[in-house]
Amino acid sequence: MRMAKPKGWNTTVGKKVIMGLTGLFLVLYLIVHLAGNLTAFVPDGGRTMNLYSHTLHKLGPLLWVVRILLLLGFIYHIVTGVQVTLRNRGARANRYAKYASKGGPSKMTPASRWMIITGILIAIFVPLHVNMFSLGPYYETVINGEPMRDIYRLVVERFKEPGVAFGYAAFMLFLCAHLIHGIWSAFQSLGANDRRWMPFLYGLGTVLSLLIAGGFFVLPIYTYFFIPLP
Amino acid sequence: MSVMTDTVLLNAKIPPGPLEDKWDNHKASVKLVSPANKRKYTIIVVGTGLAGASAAASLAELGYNVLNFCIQDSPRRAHSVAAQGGINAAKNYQNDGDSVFRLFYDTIKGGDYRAREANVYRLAQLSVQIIDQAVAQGVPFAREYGGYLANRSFGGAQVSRTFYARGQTGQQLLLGAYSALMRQVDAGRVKLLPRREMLDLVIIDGRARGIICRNLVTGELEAYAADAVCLATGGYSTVFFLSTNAVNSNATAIWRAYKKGAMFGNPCFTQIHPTCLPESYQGQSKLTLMSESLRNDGRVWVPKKKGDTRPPNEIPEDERDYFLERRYPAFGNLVPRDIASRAAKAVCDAGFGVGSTGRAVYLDFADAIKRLGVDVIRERYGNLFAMYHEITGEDPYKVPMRIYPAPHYTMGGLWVDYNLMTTIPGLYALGEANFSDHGANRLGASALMQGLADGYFIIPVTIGDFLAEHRPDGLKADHPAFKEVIRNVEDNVKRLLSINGKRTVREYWWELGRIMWDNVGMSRNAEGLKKAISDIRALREEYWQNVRVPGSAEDLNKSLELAGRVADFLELGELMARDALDREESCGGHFREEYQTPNGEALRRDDLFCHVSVWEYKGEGNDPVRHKEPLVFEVVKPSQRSYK
Amino acid sequence: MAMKYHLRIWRQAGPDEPGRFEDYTVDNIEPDMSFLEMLDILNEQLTKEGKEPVAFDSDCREGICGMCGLVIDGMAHGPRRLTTTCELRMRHFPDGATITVEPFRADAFPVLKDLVVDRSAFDRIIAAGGYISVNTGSAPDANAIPIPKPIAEEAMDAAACIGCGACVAACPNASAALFTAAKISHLALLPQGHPERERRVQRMVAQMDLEGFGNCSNHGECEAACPKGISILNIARMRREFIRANTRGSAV
Repeated sequence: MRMAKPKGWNTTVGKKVIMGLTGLFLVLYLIVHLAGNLTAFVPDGGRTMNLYSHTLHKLGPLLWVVRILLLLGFIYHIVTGVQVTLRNRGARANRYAKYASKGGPSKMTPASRWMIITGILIAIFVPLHVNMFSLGPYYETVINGEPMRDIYRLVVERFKEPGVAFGYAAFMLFLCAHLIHGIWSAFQSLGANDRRWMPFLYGLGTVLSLLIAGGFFVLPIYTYFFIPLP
Repeated sequence: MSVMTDTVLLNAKIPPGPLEDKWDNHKASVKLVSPANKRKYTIIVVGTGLAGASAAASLAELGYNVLNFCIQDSPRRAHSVAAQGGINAAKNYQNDGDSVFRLFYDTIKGGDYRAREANVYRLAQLSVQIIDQAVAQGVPFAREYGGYLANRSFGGAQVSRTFYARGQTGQQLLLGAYSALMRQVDAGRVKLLPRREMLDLVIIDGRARGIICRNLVTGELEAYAADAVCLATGGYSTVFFLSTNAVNSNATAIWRAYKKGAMFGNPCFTQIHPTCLPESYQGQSKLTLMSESLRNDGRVWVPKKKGDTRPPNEIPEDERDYFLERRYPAFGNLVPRDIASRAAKAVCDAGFGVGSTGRAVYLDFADAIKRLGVDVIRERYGNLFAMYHEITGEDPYKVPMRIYPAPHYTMGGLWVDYNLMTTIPGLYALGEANFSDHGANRLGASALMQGLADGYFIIPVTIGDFLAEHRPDGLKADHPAFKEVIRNVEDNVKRLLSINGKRTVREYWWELGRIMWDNVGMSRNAEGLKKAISDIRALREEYWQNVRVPGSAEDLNKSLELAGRVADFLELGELMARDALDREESCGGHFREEYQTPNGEALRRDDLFCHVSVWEYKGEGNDPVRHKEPLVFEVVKPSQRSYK
Repeated sequence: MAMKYHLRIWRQAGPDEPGRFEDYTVDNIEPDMSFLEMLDILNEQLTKEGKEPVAFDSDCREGICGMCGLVIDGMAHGPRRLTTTCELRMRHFPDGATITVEPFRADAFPVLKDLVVDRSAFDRIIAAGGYISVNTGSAPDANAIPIPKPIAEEAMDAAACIGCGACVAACPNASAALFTAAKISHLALLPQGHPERERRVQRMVAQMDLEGFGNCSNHGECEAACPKGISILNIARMRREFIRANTRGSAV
């Protein structure tokens, strides 16, 4: 497979830098998003969560900037990921009859091999998710005399449906797999790795992905079983 | 015996003046090619080892067009890559009294006074610049904590002058030369032609004007024309079948040049390295070298009882014969390579050898481990011990290593003058391919030095002297002379393929190796050498009637490649035996049993053999003729070596 | 103790010919024999039977030239870590085993014949910048620039690459990142390599891509297969060099 001489960020190394940067940006967003989700656990009938959501919406144009950046990062991450995968497929047209790992220092796991699969699943999940919640029915509530969207009610209502609750949780397993390879790999792709940092970054990646995906995983399950409809 | 000398035929062209000024005087007096004219010349360099790659890169930097050939898939794989120990240079960074003169002196003495003073002195002078060049290229030599270069000691020297990059000095120096070469490939000054094997030399009007090579992928015979040809194709230890050399190392390029008129110097001078893994099973293809440094702490012994089959650890101390320490109390296990090798052979010949074949001696680290602790030994030799363990399945921390000498390097090669030109005008030989500056025995860590001195610093100067006298004439490879040589090569290839006999090429190679090892190996005598000559002739005859070479000439055919090489070995082996028979003395690696001191040491005969034996090919079926280049020692006085 | 093996070997007459597996049996194999010596014996056998021997590359047979390389039971250079095919001993395979032997597979390494592949892409990557531009004779004294021992050692770790291509063969993406990074790393660590560092990384990466190798997805299979144990941290260093070069806007 011969192609025109690529330059700068269009090279394989450049593309991995883009993957790493957009990936870490999306991880940062996930952390903020998770913090919001966790407010649902506060047993005040949704007061904290709705206030949190309302405060975010009061950011107005700034929120839109963040949204656009997120959308761009998300699309850039997906498009580059697909390009990278297609190139990789093309780099070995004749496959091995037998293929095995020698183990040792290898970081290859099913998670690292299935990044494109878990990635596509997440890419399918996100619009469904946005459609279900952000673009979902607008319930209103009044807190401290101020009318605002009752997003808490929507969340609890939806997660009382078993299909939604368990489907959502299942997708979080894919997210976990994606992050387990993705987070440390992003640092490696950005060159932010050396002998001392390697064990830390690999550990951080694993712990962070378990925490993030775990947090998102617990919410629907907990809601389904323990949170009453408001 | 005739004492005819051939000063006219074999003019070494040694420059006048005091030894230390000869090279400078020479550089000041050689003719030059102007920068604008250099690009009108094409130079062929065959081989991409230390000598070939450094020559190709340096000539291209000067502005010449270079065609560079190698048999491997990449120039980085040439066998220089396997050199472990290091490279000598008279830097005197250790302040231990080293100097250019001392390196020169050690090399001349180590070679048992069978090398040219002027060449060796130049080699010692250039050693210093080689290290500078390598460091500038990014060769990661070992360093001290202060950031300055480290040195280690090596056999045959009393100073610490060996630069090294772990146990991979050859690899790192080669990668340095290779990177310089690839820079010139990128610049378009070198055209790289890998997977090509030179099969003949083309001579027009008495001058080397090109080569014929086989494209090893397509099988096509290709012709290349040039204004000069440099052969840097290495040594011929693989004539012994089992050696420390790479399995593709061969003599074909220099042998075909010899048959075209380039005379061959000292073909019998071969180095047998004492510390190699022994032959231990049928089908073995290689004798892996274990660094000479192991003898610093290991003790060499055999059982005192013949045919003792007890495991080594069950043989009590007083039933062991530490034969090197017994025979050479002053140097003990650290005697030079040739002496250690012969002593090991002697005890095995007498029936004391160990291992399944009885052709091995123990190299025991038990005392060193007791004295220094296992950690110190691991730090010093850990990688070698691991390598030994991996190959043999035995743990040398617990069981003594089994070692035996193996062919390692050939000091002989194409005869060259001070300019590295062979007896064919315009044909040069560099590195191990020439008859070299090492005399009858090469010191450790000197092969890398010589290859790089030839390629980086000597040929770029001396080739201009020749080219300045021969204007570029735009010769093309479609000249009729090329067609004729191609036809001969083609006939040869067809002949090999058409025999379709019963035995494989490898079987003949193995059998030749046996004859060579038994008779032209570590110790030689007239009777054995005569037998070798007749046995080789008979084998060669049979080869051309009964060899089976499968496959075709039109594609990648490893059997055919080997068949051509073995055909040449079958001729070269005879010349080696002839030369060994002719040299009725013992010197360096050449030990004639008839010429030894009463206590079994080598007896040199300076009155009769202080010369280079230079052999001239006289056509098929005719005996080659031996000429002599007398060796004149003006600065050092030859003396008998003693290590008692 | 002589052992017997069943071999499934990839045979392919030429670059554009279709390949297939063929089955062979070899007998009387010694445990100390190397994998290539076992193939030597098979080839002797095939020659005597009037068949064409299996073509494979090898040269030094002591693990340093990088010429040999087979995929044995799905692993580049076979099952042992830090071992080249020529160093691999038969004692690691149980008597009677069936062993699958394939060439290094990557589109950038076309098969020339049987198990022989064309790795000249590696040479072109080096030609694109894997050197320090110093003409013969223009070097200063070797001790003019001190280099801290740990830096020199780290450079040596990277420089130990033998260019065998096992990293490409083992990589699920057939990426040459480890090979390219090892050379970039070696030269980036040394002060002598600094003047050309930006140009070097940009040109070498561009050439690597042009050859058709895949991306590095940080699987780390290359390091596991590398007979010299070269670390993927060198790939991280290559990326640092790359980011540095591309954010400084220096010309290629």
